[in-house]
Amino acid sequence: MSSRSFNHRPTEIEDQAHAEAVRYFAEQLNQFPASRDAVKRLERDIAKISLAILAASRRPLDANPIVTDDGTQWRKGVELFDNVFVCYRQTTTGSEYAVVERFPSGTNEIWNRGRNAVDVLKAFTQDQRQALQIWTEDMTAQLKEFLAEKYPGHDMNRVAESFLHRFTHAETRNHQQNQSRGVRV
Amino acid sequence: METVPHPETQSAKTPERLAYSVQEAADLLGVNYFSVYRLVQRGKLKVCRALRGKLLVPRDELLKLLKSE
Repeated sequence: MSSRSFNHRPTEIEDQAHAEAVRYFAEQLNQFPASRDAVKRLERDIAKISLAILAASRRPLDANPIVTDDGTQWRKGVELFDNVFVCYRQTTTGSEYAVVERFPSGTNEIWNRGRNAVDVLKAFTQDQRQALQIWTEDMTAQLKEFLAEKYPGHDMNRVAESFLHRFTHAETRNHQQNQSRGVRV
Repeated sequence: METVPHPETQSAKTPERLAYSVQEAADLLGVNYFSVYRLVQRGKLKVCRALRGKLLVPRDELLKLLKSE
């Protein structure tokens, strides 16, 4: 079944506008579902990931610590998304955990940190939900601007509604591949 | 390392860009969209809004982020 939500048959110009928007925002239509599904998996697997971090922290240290922007050295525990890791370190007062993102510049940004792995992951997950919300709001604004510039004077509300439904409800393109990724330790 | 195009590399007739879309910011930083929205959510990348609410990343903010990295 199509994800389009037109109550009545779309007009030719609505069809054209929808197709153009899909082409123009193809990259975001591809990336958003993948990011949303990654956050959903993270929410579902918090306990499993926490156990994996604990197991990782008991293994012998590897030779390549991650150094974050504050100069702290961390050991890589679990990869959550591409270039986003849960890391751990031992301090005089016990273990500390952090979610760290590695940027192409080579720097490592700490997103969340704390003494309890579950709490760190929960806080990170909440932040990711908010980031997805910001993305959705920005997508809505980008789309309205695109349609207003391409089709001035036309009512494109139904096109926008249909497109945004597709944006927020689309299946991940590489669904099976993403399902099989799971937690990487 | 500055990856934002330097004014001298742009056409002499093209005025210097003051701000970039999230898509452009992601390309310039070499990260995916979600990383940019993550930076925005945490206030690491300050943005402003265009007329219809579209996010714009000021050039200065991109440079600041790259320098702080």
